Amino acid sequence: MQAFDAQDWARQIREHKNPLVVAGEGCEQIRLDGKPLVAYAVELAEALACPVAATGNILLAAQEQKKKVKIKKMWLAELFRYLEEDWEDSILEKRPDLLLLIGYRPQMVQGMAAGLQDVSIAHLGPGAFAPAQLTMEETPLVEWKRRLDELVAACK
Amino acid sequence: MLASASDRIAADKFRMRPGRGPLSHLEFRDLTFGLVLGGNGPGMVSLLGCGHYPGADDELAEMAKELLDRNCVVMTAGCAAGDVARKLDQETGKAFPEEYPSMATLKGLVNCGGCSADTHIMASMFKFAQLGGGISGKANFDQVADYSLNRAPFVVIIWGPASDKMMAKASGFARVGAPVVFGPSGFKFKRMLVGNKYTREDWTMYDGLDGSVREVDPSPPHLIFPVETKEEAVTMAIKLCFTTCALREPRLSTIDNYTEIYQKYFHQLPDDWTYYLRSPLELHVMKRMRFLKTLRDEHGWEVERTTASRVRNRDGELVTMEEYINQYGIKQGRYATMLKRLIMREAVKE
Repeated sequence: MQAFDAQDWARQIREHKNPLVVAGEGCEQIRLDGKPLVAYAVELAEALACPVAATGNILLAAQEQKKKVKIKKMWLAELFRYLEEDWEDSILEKRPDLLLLIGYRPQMVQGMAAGLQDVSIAHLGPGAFAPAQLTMEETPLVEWKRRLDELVAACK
Repeated sequence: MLASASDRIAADKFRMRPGRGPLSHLEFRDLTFGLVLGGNGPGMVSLLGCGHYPGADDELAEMAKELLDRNCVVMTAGCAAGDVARKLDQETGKAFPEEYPSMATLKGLVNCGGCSADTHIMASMFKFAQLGGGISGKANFDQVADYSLNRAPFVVIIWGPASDKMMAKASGFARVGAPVVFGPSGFKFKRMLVGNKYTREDWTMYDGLDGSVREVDPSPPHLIFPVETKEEAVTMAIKLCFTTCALREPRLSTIDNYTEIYQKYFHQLPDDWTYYLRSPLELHVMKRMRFLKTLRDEHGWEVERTTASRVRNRDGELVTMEEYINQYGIKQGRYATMLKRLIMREAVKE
């Protein structure tokens, strides 16, 4: 297992001007020591002052976190399709330059992410997504939770 | 594994209707009035899939119920038909298929038969074009596909594992003009046909009479679309029932169902519902005032009592309803096509 440096991750994330947190159905299904993954998605978005694209059914769960974060229901495949051309969706004024994917198994995004250009990807789990610029590894849940806690703290 | 599940296997009994095979001409003649020429059915949704996935016991039946409650025709075949039939009404003791007529009619739930009976569903699309549109099916694939895509609201939901067989079927259905929703493992399917509603230059059709190119609403927005959950699947299925050449009543039904189901599952109005609205008369009469208020407050439409005097077009300009309809979409009943060679020739017009 490689050492995880939350500060380095936060520095690399902060190099991007238009990040977008993309939270999938796994955010509602997965709990890390009782804390739902959706809470990490919203906290991260709040720390980075960026919106959350809520795919699957997680919109309500994300809104229930009661953070001052713009949250919009989006469809994962549509989002990747919009990134292929001029950006017009209202969730962000300009085209995102970094997608922070959370709650997607790697095989879900693999096909779509392969065709992306000029957009960086940070995959926050579950699993390891090799093509991403930043990716969590296959880690035990306890370690995964520790990493996410550290990342949120480092991004604040 | 089999031994440990032996009790469950023994108890896994359910009643389902026998497979019907090909459906009759009479049903499709009737259905033309329910889905295309008028009526209040959003569309015909086919539920297919290979079973054997988490949630197989009830997800397909729940999707079928949601769609049937919304006046759709639901066609099933193969394992999906078995999964739909597994649901039992605890109060009445009736099996799920016993609650609905086994006919291709609004609120009808049809089991076409075994897995290969999926072909009857596709054949019904040809039958629909022949009977409803007077289109010959003989050496004439593209006109049938053009009709299915732009006039007939057919959608297929493939639910379960992304097997090679289902991938081939998805491509086949998309080719004949029936959009496919693929989930929850649809993301493994490398061939997606996802549209972008914002690239307006992609959404055009030929006026079938004068050959001019017209900007149209993005419908159906996708041809093969992966989703994550069953709620996304039924919502997208309803959205894919939008057809460019829809007449007023079917468009009203689709807008009504799309906005309602989106609010039910995602607690907000979709951001694109106004793209499909061609007149306040396409708003359900019971919700018209509420939607007109939304159009006035959130979209800047000028509303006078129960109608809109000026509407915002896709450029954001305020125009009269007549100008809007002249610029955007296909006028009701006007012949339009996506294929240049299907534009009516002068000799035919004479």
